Formats: sequence, structure tokens, C-alpha cells
Amino acid sequence: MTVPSGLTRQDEVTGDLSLECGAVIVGSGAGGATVAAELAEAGVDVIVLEEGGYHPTESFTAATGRALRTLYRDGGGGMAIGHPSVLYAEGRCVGGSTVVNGGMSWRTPARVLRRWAEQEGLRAISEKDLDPYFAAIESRLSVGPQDPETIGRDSELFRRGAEAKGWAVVPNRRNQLHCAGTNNCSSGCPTGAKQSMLVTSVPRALALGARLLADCRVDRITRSGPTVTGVTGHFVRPGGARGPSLTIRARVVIVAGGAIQTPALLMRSGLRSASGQLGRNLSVHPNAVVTAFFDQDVTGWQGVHQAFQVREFLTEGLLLTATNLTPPMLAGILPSYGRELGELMADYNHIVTAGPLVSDTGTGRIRNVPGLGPLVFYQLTERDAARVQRGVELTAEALFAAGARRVLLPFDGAPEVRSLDELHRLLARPVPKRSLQLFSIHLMGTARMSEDPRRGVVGSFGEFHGVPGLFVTDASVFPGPIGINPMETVIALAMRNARQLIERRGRWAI
Amino acid sequence: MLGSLPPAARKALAAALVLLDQGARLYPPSRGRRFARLDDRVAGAYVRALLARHDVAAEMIRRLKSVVTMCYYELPEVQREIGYDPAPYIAAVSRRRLESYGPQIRAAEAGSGDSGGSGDSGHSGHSGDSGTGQP
Repeated sequence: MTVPSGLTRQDEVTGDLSLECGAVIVGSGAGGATVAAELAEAGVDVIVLEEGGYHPTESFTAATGRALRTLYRDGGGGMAIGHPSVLYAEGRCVGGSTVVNGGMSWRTPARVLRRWAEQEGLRAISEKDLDPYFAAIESRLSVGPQDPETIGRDSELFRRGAEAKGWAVVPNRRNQLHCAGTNNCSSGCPTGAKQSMLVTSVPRALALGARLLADCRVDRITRSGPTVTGVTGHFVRPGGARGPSLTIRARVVIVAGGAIQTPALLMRSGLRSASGQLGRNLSVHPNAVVTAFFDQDVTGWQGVHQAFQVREFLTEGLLLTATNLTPPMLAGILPSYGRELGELMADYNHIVTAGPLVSDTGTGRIRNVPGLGPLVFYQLTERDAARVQRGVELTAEALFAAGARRVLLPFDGAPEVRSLDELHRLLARPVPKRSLQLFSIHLMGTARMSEDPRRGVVGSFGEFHGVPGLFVTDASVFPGPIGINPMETVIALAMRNARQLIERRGRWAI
Repeated sequence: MLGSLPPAARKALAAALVLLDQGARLYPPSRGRRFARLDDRVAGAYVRALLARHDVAAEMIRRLKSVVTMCYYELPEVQREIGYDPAPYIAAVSRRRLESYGPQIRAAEAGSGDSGGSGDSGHSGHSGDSGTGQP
């Protein structure tokens, strides 16, 4: 394996390390890598710390187990505790979740930006303010629709069903350089076509002089009085054993660990927000999966997943799309057991999986528990449960319109459904909330951005209220759910915050 | 796959397996037998009874089933049996990508160099699409 110059892995570190820099960045995903590249380009001495390992494109295969072990935190098995619980996954590797996400790249809806600006008094966050950043991102990360030959039959069937219903369907936009359609997004793109941070902003930052330490967990943010002075942490040996310690003195600390790890780090560093919002206000965009069986061969794993989005119901907080799941992932979430599950899986190549993403109104919170780390709690509201049910019903309708013979719904104990009549009869009454099977890959909002320190944790440009030199720039700063894929918003805010920091660099002497 | 779970989760998994197995003895139709000794019909009924409780036990069953089936369907021979064999497909479409777009990809990658800006990606469908996130 060739390791880029400037990147250090745990196996290269034999003793405790003490380093100094202008800005230390915690996390190398959409937020962290973007800030690192911007600051390095401006000549700031940058160190990026990433808890996960460095796994280059040539190491990516279709093996789900390999991906879960190497690219995800805790094997992708996070669980937000509630009724029902919501399973979630976080990336943990150089490049962060951008290495394992679907690469969907959408600008923040203008109505969301307006709401954030009005509710939180945020500055420089209108559509017009962010347009230049979005344009730069889309050019740099090659954002656009799929080449037609890469679109899978599962996506085509779902599009056909939705269009037969007369619904608005749009081609999905990804950060991809002529994606081959390997359908391997969630296990790492094996061609390097997906323009994740691993192949874009991380190498850019390194080429511009930034240093990156992989396999390095940050324990605490250090302070002198109210002002941050750096971080302490340690390298993580294979199997999770504790390696050499690390101390970094920095004039600026930027936290970009995602909506679970960022508040967890801030809290275990003894930081408090006067707003009381640190670790609260978690949104998860709950997803549910409808499984449909077709007579014809679908072979949904041949071709890119989520080639289209149904946006007909966006104003109701619902986004529908088809997502092919690998056999381990599908078997893991199907609400079936034993022989019945085996019989369903035997039809794997006749299956289309699709479902709603719900812009949620409920919120959750993160609590640090000594010895266990951050625990996530989330309560689905009755209103959101009704939205999930409606999204599932609409998805199933589209799949029947596309020719599905039967569908399985993501509710414990739900019978197989063979017609629209059966579907509507079954869903005429609310499904018990506890029986919903939900998961999430969009975690947002636990360090809310607000100009009012009584309402939010950070200000308009990610500066932590009351702690000079500390910044947050990841999805945790979102004041609420955005209803669409969040990656481009995270990158745009990171780029904007970095440039504002550069304009005021004299204050921090970086 | 189990190695990717944190130590606490691995311990909880082992405990859950024991609970599932021995807990079956308390399920009347099992007539005192452990789960591993039940026939398919009774084992299925036991699992359904636990799931219907919608409590911690139900959550435990869901998680156990998820882990066990994920491990099983990760086995290459099981994947081939259900018609899933992605490696040759990935190799073929990766070749197709380079044959169809090689010059554009190389130009964009060369352009990324130390600045990271790919500039013109050569995508056919990129122009004129603002991606506002609106329907």
C-alpha cells in the first residue's frame, strides 16, 4: 500500500508524540477535510486527526464484512435507543462518511436556509450567500447525474412506477467522475469514481502541506482559561488497544467528528453550552425499507443504486428512492426469520428495495456514559411515525405500479401484501410505532448553530459560543433536519467557515 | 464481521445468545427444551412470541437475527447460491468506464493535482443543472 506523503498511520508511531500547529482539525470527513484543504491553501499549518484508518481505493471490494470492519464505527451497528430504536451508521476512516455514503450531492433547499436564518438569526447563509460555495464544490467534486449505462434495473423500475403514478422524479446528482455503476458506494468506491474526501480534499490538503494522523483518537480538547490550547489523544492499535499518546498544541481547534462524536468529544472535554443544547436537538431522517418482488430478473446490484429521487412529497417531508442492498444488509433488515427468510433471500435477484427518508420533527440527544462512550436516545414522534407509514405506503404503491407481485413492509409481524387493496386495508389504521423498523445515515443537529448563545451552541460561522479558538463544522451545527442528503451542505458550510476564519486569521495568529 | 463490534457489544451478543437459548425453557410449548433443541415450528413460534412483546427481548431478537444472518449471507458460497457474484461485474464495468471515458477521467485527475480542483469533469449531463434541492 502506498501511503501519501504527510499521512501517518499508527504503525509508524512507536512513542508518545507532541506536536504544534496553527489549526488542529478533528475528523477527516466532509467538514474536516474541506476545512483542512482551505486552511492549508491559505498557508495555515494544519494537522488533521482521524480516528479511523487509511484505506485506499485499491483496497475496496464488495465484501460487506470488510467494509463494516474497516470503514465504519462499531461495524455500522449504532443504535439510537427509543421506541422504536433507530439503527444508524457512521463512517470511521480517512475521508469519513463520504467514503461510504451514496455520494448524493444536493444544495440546501432555499426554504431550509430561510428558516434557519429567521429562527436562529444566522448571518451570510442565504441561497445567494452560499451559491458560490455550491458552485465551487460541484465543479471540484464533479457533481452531476449518472451516465445512462450505469443505471440499474431496480432504479428504472422504481422510476417507472413513480412516473406511472404521475409523481415528480428527478435524476440523482452525485459527486462522481463517470461512476462505473459498481453499486459499491457503501463499501468504498472500487474505481475511485466517487469523489469522496479520500480522493479529493484529503490529498489536496496533504499536497498543500497539511499533516494527517490516522488511527488517532482525540480524548480531550485542552484549554487555558476559556481559550482552547489544543487536544490530547492516543493512537489506536489493531483490535482497539491503546497506542502512544499524542499532545497537540494549536491556536485553533476545529471539531468535525459528526453529530454523535462531536458533542461527545466536547462534553468529555468539560465544555458546556449556556444554551443547554449541546448534545440535544438530534435529527436522524428516519428511513424505512419496502421490499418488492418482481417476476422478471432485476439483479439490482448491477448498476448504481438511488439513480432517481421521487420529490413529489418533499413538502410533506418525504423523499422516496430505490436503494439496492447487498445480501448481508438485506437479510439483516428484512422483518422475517428462519425458513421464511431463506425463501425470501432465494429470490434476491427479483427484489427491488425502496423507501422513504423522513424529514423528522422529533429530536434526540447524546449522553456520555463513562466506560460506554456516547449513548444516543431518540424518540420518534406520532407525527413522524405517521409520515413513515405514509412514505411506506407511497413507496409500495409505486412498486405495485411498476409491476411488483408482492411487497414486504418494514413493520414487525406485517403480512406479505399482494395488491393495492390489501395494502390500503392494512394501513388504514396507524401501525404501532414500536413495530417500525427504522435506520438512519443522516445524523444532524447536536451542536446547533444560532447567533443567540441562549439558543445555540455555535455561531453563524461555527465558533463555539464563549470558547475562543474553538470551532465546529459538520452536520451537528444544522439547526434542524434539511430533508435531503446533507453532504453538500456540510461541505459548503465548512468552506464558508474556513474562508471566514482565514479572513480573521490575525486574531488567532495562524 | 463480529470483530468489528465494540467489546461491550460482543459481550452483550454472547449473553443474548445464552438468554435466547435457555429462555426457551420457559416457553410452555417448548416443554422445557432449550432453543437449539426445538423443531422449526416451535422455534418459530417462540421467536414470534418474543417479537410480539415489543420490549427489550424483542429488540434483542432483532439484533441477534440481524448479526447472524449478516454473517451467513456474507459467505461467498451462500451469495453464489442466490445469484450474487459482484466481483466479475465490478471488473467488467470498471473496464467499460475506462474504455468509454478514459481520456476525460485522466484529464480530470491530472487537473486535480495539488490544487484538488478537477474543473471540467467531461460529464455530459452536468451543465445547466443547478441542483437546488428543489423539485
